[in-house]
Amino acid sequence: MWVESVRLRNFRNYFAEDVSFSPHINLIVGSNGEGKTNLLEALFLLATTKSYRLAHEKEMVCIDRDTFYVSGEAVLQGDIKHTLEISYSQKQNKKQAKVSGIPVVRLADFIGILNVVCFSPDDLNIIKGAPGLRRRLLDILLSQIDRVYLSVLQQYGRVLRQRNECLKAVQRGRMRPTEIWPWTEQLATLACQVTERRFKAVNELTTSYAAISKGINQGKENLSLRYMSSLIKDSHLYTPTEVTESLQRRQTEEVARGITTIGPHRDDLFFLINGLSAADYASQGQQRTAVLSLKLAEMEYMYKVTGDYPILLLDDVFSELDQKRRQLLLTTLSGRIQALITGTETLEWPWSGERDRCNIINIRQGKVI
Amino acid sequence: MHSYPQPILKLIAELARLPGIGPKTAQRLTFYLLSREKAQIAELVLSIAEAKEKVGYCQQCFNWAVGGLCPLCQQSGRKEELLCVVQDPRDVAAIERTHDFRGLYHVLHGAISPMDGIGPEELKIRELLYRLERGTVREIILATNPNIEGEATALYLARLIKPLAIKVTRLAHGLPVGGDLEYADELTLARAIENRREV
Repeated sequence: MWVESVRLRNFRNYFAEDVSFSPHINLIVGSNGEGKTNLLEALFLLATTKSYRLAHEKEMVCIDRDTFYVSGEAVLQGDIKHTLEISYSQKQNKKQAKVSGIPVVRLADFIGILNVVCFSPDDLNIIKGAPGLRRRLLDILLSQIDRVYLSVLQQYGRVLRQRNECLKAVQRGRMRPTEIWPWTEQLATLACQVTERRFKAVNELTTSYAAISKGINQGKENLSLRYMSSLIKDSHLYTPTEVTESLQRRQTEEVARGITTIGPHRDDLFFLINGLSAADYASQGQQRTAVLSLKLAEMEYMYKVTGDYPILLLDDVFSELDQKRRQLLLTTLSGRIQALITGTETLEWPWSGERDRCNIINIRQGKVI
Repeated sequence: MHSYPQPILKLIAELARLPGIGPKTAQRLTFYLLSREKAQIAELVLSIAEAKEKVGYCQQCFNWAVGGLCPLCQQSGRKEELLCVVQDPRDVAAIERTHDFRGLYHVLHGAISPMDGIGPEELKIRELLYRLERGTVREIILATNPNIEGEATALYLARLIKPLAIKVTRLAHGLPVGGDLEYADELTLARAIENRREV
């Protein structure tokens, strides 16, 4: 899939700009603060309805304006065209989305029509950073390709908040312990559904992840991924009944702490090098290999599920990769995948021979020049 | 707005507190009301006061009622052994429109939601159990909303009621009748497949 063009109105520092892309590699060039990243953010918004920088919608509206509008002409599965539109009004605090002119009833129906994989400088911390970052990565990936995952995840989040409120209320004597279990039972069912989907996805991901990383490090080390869950023991996923029992055994402790202590909200994605935890000792170079391999594996996984490659958004990380990794990335992309790559003017693009084949977009102060 | 006399501002503010009424609508309603005859206004005021004065909860099912019992609880020919538990009086009206259900109701006035500080104590659950003690009810249909709060309320009630040797059932989840399969959302469809039945 690819995006032919985007139309930006009052979005970040773009007052009114239409930008066209090539189906292959697009280099977005400009100094810092000119709006390169904002362009990638617009694409991410069209895929997920959210900002990958975790920004609130009102931060994405131009200063002194009320409403932003972003639309994109997407080409899916070879030649199916869709116009995707998303707008947000501060006054109404309302986000609206349309697919080919028809408003979607729920924003969830908009997510996943366009698929993206985003690689930004923050991702370089993913291995040693907080577990929440790694769970979020899996959630963004799965939400785009599995509608049921998204609704199950949202429901899980809501049941979890209700249950935690209930635990706190019991702790303060405002509710009785018998009032916890309707939440426990619902939580257990949803927890198993979320965990199972993540577990299966990671098992699929790790195969291509291992193969891709071998290509980068010439087989020096074996890289793999493992989904670590409180609900999985020896590759066996607990049943909802087992989870309910486990939660009931922990009830006294959970009331005292006022939080739910097991479930997918506490799980983690482990990066392993030769079977050992990469978080503990991976060098900068090894981490870069791992993250790059993961991003490429994500693209392969999406392709396997949807039959269409996602769009790759590379935000300021190209300069972080060495010659070998850049070359591998470009070879992987060549001809099949649309990529939007940002970089500063001063950056020396590494493949001068191929530069002519790239679509170069110069950005200055929210305008294409 | 500031140029309006005080009584107008007060009326606008009062109307804007009503559900579904924003400042613009409140203003429009205010000027509409001011343009009416005095008698018409008096009638409106009277009907609001009268409704508030006379309407209360049914002593038995907590639906709206004038006097002790609501019309449904008074109706003869209702099956007393079948009880349908709902969240809201509007749900009673919805089920009544089917003309299929001949049992009685019990209105909880909400669903359990710890985030909003609503526990079983805030609902008409004690009254329900008291009602069941009389022993006439043989089956309870839990017709709370099919969202997580409604589900939690149903699960909570089911566990309370089962020891009383009363049959407890829950409304089915599934596809809307007369709709197209392709328009069903994924979760509803998944539930419908899960709860499929033999024909």
